[in-house]
Amino acid sequence: MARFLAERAATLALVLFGASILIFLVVRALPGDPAIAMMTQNATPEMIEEMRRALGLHLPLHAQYLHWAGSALAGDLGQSFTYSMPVRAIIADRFPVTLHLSLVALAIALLIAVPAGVVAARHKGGMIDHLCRVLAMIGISMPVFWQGLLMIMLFAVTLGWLPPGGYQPLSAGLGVSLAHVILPALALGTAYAATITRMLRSSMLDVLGKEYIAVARAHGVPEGTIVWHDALRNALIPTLTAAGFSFGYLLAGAVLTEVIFNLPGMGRLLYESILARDYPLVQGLVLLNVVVFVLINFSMDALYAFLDPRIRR
Amino acid sequence: MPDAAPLFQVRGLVTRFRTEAGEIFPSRDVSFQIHAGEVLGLVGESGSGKSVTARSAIRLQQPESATLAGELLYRGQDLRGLDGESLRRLRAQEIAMVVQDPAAALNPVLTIGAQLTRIHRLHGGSAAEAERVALDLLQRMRIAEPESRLAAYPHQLSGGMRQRVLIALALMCRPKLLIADEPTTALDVTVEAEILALLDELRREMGMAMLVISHNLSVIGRMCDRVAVMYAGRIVEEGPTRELLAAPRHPYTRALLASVPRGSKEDGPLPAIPGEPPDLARLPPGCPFQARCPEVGPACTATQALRPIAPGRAAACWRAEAA
Repeated sequence: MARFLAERAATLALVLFGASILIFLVVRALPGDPAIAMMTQNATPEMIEEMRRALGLHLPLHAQYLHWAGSALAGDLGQSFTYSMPVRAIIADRFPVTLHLSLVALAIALLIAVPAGVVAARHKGGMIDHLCRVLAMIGISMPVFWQGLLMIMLFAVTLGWLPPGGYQPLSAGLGVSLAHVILPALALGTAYAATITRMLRSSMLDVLGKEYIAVARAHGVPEGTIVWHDALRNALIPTLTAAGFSFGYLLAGAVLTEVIFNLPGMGRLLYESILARDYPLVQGLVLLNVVVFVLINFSMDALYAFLDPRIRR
Repeated sequence: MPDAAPLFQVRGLVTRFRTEAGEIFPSRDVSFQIHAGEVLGLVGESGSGKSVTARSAIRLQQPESATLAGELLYRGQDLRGLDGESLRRLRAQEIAMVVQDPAAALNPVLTIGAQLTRIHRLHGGSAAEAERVALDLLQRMRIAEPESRLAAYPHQLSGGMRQRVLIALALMCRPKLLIADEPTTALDVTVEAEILALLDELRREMGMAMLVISHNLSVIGRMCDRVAVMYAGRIVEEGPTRELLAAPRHPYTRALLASVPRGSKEDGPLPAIPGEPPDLARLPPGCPFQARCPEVGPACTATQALRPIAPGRAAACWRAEAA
């Protein structure tokens, strides 16, 4: 197990190094000059050149990369061009919003998908299975922003039960905080639940056809134990891996959801920083996304090994 | 066998599957009975319907709607009339199954110990007691270091070891009826002999009845009191093992016996049964073996029911009757 994790960790370091180079180059390949983007229209070429020097853009590319990567290793992601604040401070401000939203969305998704997937598989071809299929189709095909708008209209505007948007941290009180995050989390979580349900259903069907399930039945193990313990533990292995990767996408920020619900999260921040050609902020955000993905990948491998004894060594 | 009521009696079992090639009937009007402590062998080529028949007989075949007709009388009670919970309780206490592929028959994410002990605990035993029973059985199955095996996962054991564990699993509840579906097919010959001997020893000790399914006549010859020969979903011949193997009356049984390697004689190739196994979706009317039968005659196109041909023996062939 330790060796397995050490190997994975070494791979991760390599991935991060490659990704950092790629991020750096792609950001610089964006059309437009950040120095110009930051100046007023009647700036002189001298003023622009002075700004480029101030931002460190006059240096050769490799020097710029080494400077950025070196500081990043030390935890310093540089100064945002547009916010005149350290990138790290901006991210530290926004990331909790997205993390909060993603975790609640994930919880909602699993709460819906695990029972739905299991029950659909157990009653394959029955009413519940068909109902789950239809709901999952709706969940997958309905755009998240559209679902978000409908929910705002119903719960915030018509019924007035929940605030239409904005963010309150947990420190504002569990109730207040949850009231703000529940609608966007539902919009994200139900779409996500639809995919996981379909995945879990097919993997449950596969497992329920296995010989060890027939043997357990032949020996009188109760059907509930067979389905919810014997079969589910096996069926969750591929499903959780896939769910974990989707969680990575959630953490990268759900741009549309954050915009509609007026949440100051990562997705919106990335969108704005690209428009402003804020190189350090874009680089910092994308690098963070890569780190998050890589860490999730790593956790999924660890979880996989935990769930499947055949992978442990 | 005395005339006492059989432990398990199957009457007129019919199963049907819909496949892309058409409807197939893995069991066509199959009947057999097993007395307490008796071993019945079900022999036939792969695809003859042995496994489906045996699994349908204890309502294990999925989907259950495949079973169209038949009475499955266990101690005189029809299993088809039981609700799920009563059936489960009966299986937990009296019925067990060993299958062909031990790698697929053990749950890969549960330890050997967890899989063994929970069977005992279905009867309300304590954890410590269940572990004692499990250890005892593993020892009886000649598994070295049984304590450390309890913590092992199935993939950490060899094939022969897994099959021993699977048999131990089946014996945890001291069943009255054991279905052994090709119990040694996945093993090499030396391990096979040892496992068969162990199984036989434990069977005698526990007074258990068995239904042994195999394509291998030497396994059947070694284990069984009586044999039923299956072909294309039908039992074509039945009788006491020794008599049936010594003097087979159905042409299919004769052909099957002729294709078994005997002793160390290496004189020429074994005679294979000519022709192809029948397409189950397109069986001719009458005897299913007629297309391959060396003794085919005009009467073969009429349905051949299994009928008595001698005391304790039956065959589904007009020639066997005439003989």
